[in-house]
Amino acid sequence: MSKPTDLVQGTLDLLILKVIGLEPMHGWAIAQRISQMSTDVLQVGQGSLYPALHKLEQQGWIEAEWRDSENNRRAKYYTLTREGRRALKQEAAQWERLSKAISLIVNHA
Amino acid sequence: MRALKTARLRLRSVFRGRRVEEELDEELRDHLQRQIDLHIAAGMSRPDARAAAARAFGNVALFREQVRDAHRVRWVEDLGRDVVYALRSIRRTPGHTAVTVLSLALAIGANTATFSLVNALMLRGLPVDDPGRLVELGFERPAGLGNFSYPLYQRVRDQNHAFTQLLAMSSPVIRAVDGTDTPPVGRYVSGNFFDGLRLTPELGRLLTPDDDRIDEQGALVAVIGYGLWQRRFGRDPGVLGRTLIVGAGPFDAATRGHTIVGVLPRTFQGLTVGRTDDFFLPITTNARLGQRSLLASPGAGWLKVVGRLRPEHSRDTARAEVEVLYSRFVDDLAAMASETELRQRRAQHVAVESARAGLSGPQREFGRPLLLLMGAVGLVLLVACANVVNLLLARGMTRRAEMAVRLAIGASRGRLVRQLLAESAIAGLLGGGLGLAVAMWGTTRIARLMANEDPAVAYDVAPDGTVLLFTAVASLGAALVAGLLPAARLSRAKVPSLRGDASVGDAGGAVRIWMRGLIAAQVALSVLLLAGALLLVATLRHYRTDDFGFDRGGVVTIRIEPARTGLAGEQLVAYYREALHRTRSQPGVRNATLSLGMPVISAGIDTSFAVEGQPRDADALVFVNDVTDAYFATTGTQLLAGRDFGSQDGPGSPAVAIVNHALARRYFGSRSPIGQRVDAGIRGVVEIVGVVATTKYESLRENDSPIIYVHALQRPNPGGLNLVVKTESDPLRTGQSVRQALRALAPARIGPVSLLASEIDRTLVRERLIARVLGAFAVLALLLAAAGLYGVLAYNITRRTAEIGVRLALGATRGAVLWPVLTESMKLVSVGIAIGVPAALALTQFLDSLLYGVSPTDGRVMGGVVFLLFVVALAAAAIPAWRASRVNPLVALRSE
Repeated sequence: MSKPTDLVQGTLDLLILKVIGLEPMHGWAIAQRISQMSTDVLQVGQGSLYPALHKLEQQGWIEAEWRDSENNRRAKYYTLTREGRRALKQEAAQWERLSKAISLIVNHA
Repeated sequence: MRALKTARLRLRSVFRGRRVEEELDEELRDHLQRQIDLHIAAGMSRPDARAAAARAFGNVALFREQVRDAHRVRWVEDLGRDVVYALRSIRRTPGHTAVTVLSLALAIGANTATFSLVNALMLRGLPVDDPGRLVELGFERPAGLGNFSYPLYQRVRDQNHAFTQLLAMSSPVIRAVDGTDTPPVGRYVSGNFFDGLRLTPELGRLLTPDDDRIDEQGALVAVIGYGLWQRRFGRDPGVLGRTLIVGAGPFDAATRGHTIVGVLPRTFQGLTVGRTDDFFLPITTNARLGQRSLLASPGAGWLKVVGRLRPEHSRDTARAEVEVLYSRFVDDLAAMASETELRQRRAQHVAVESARAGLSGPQREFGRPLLLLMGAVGLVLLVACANVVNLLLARGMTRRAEMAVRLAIGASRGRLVRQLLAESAIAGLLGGGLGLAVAMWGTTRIARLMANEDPAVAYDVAPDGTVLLFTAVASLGAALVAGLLPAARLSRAKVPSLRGDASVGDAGGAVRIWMRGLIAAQVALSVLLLAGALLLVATLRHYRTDDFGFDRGGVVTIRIEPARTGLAGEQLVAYYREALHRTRSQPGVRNATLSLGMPVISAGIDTSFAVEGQPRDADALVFVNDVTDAYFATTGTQLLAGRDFGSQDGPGSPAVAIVNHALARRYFGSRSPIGQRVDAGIRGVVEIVGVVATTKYESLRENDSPIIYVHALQRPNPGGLNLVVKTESDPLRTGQSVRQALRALAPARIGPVSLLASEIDRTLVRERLIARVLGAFAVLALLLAAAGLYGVLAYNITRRTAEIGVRLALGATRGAVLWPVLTESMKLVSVGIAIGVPAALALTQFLDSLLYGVSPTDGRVMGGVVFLLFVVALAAAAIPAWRASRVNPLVALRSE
């Protein structure tokens, strides 16, 4: 891949839901966690992260709440809603199917 | 739940926009800070860390915009901005805005005024439960539904299957006595009346079927309306048990106290739109004021009957059933009634009409005229819209540069259209608001025309929800429709427009074609309205000045009702003779006579007719009137042959009659009818002694109705006669002195003095309504069109100032500059007229039934309209033309 940060359209939502599903966290932490978990393959830019977060919030899949963070700064923590959890399950299944299909084609001898 | 939550978030971002933005900033700042912290932890210096983080972070403003997009409420914010911008732009061009708003206000006002009356008369349901199932029963008559008798009402009430309830209400009103000029009016109603309407009392109780059992001696009770309770009793709860004195009507011989047992709810004013009934009495007590009881008479039609349809029945099925019940009712009467009577009864048919908005009378009278006016006033709105379009187009030409700049820096076309439409919408709302004020004024004017000088009629035209909705939709709709074309054209402004005026001329060509087309359309619409209005005005003129065979001028009538005197036979004749004698000896009286019916205002008794010795025509019907001597001299009707009635004719002498020329021609051809004996049905066998000229009799519209006049004193009518007086001068004063003289004669009831000409004029209420209102609309349309024409011509002059300057500088005369402006104006009007006149000729056919003495295609009317339009067009063109000729070449060239 030429540009590791290019994410397949729509997969950012899935990544965010997955990461927040582990525990509530703020925007910066979400970006960090995604790059950690993908061993630095995936870099989420702020320019896509925050619009995506706000869109998910508008959709009612995640909720936001201002909390004090570890270094005594206030930060906006995002949590998965019940609906978000359901959406995550669906999106994950969808991704599973899609990636399997793509692998089948790409790895075909 | 989710929808609720996201809706809350959206609302929050609309109404707490600042708070949301702050939170976003804080969130982004936090992110940036953490990045910096990370860099420092990795060993960078603070400034380097800050720079690196900022670099990685990118364009903050763009993020913010993208995040805001996620909230997807931009259109709301944009709308707010559009409105603010539009207000600013409106404030910059106050003159332009004033003309737009005024055009719309006048047109919307006229529309709302007309609609208010359509609403009050035809749309607004009665304030009772489920008014949609209410229907009115009656006999089909040209002038409205004929009344039922009480026995017929009882028969239908007891034997029908179509109605859950059948209610009856007296058609004539009764009056209470309270010493004022406007005594409360009431009606007799059946005991189930209020239950059938499902009304609940404000106070006390309403009438019940038990009240139908009140007999000759029972205690008298009354239910009063909320209005009377408020007006006379100050809403005193102690009103129950107090007494209402009733019985001051023309036929009442006594007054009686009625105990008030209940008060109606505020919303209910009666079943007739425009009339308020102040009290209601049990129908069975109708003889207690001294008259003959009407309960047992099968022939006395005095009841309005209203039914509540069962769900499975329609008006048609109900009508069929009642028709059957009615024909059986007539069969049962066969033994008691005469042949003629039975034939007349069989000839009438039952009609069932919707009573959702009240009894059908006012709708029958004004429904069609109002709908016609509604159509006409819609055309006025179109004329106003055309003005708005032209104004916007003209102003748009001066705003092309602004639009081009905005397009150039990235505004979308849709965005520009939306913003221009916002300006139109605001103008529309302002116009609508102002239009409501215009409508208030106009509505009361129209309502007063419809009330026809009857003090008891007052239409409730206060704007209700329906009217306000109409106004809002009409004004916004008109403004947006008018704004669409200019907005679409303007948003197409090309960037080269930025270069200056040079390109404006080319691009403006299409716009100018639109403008001229709209002016022609306005002229065409004005032709339609003017033609209609002038036709009605001509009709009224004919009604007022045409020769109807009798002379209305200076004639007053006074009704004499000697019932109370108890006079009969010879004594009654003597009373009438003495009344005539005293009247004729009053100063200022030229002639006087007595007559049962008055032409046009209270005529229309008809009778079977047969000439002795000729085969009988069973269907022959002629009008009959009872008159005394000098009737024809007093009313100015020409005696063609034979003699007038004289003092030699009386109760003892042979029965005589005079026929009009139409009757003589129809039944006697060229033979002389004098000396012939005829059977005048209800008036018996009479000998014809004279022939008079044919006059209009039942209405001003009829043609050559046959009339037979019998001598009123040979079988005097105890119910009363009209004293007809031809006066020398000052008819009303003379009439008053006659009235005083008659009052001294006997305790008979002497009615008020009325002018025959005014009474006849009152019968022209619909024609007058349409003539006046349509006339006002036509004038309004004409003014709007003239303003539009003026605007377009003035705009052209302004646009061409430089060109005119050049031509003047090169030696063109003032006239050569002035002339094209006038010809342009004439050209536009000619095109409009060429479209409008054929359209008017086609559409005025719909007015035919209202016209009299003038054909819908009357050449003089059309000629008048065309002439008027050319005059107005010249006037509208005069100022721009004059301005063109005053252009100063130097100034014009310098401005280039």
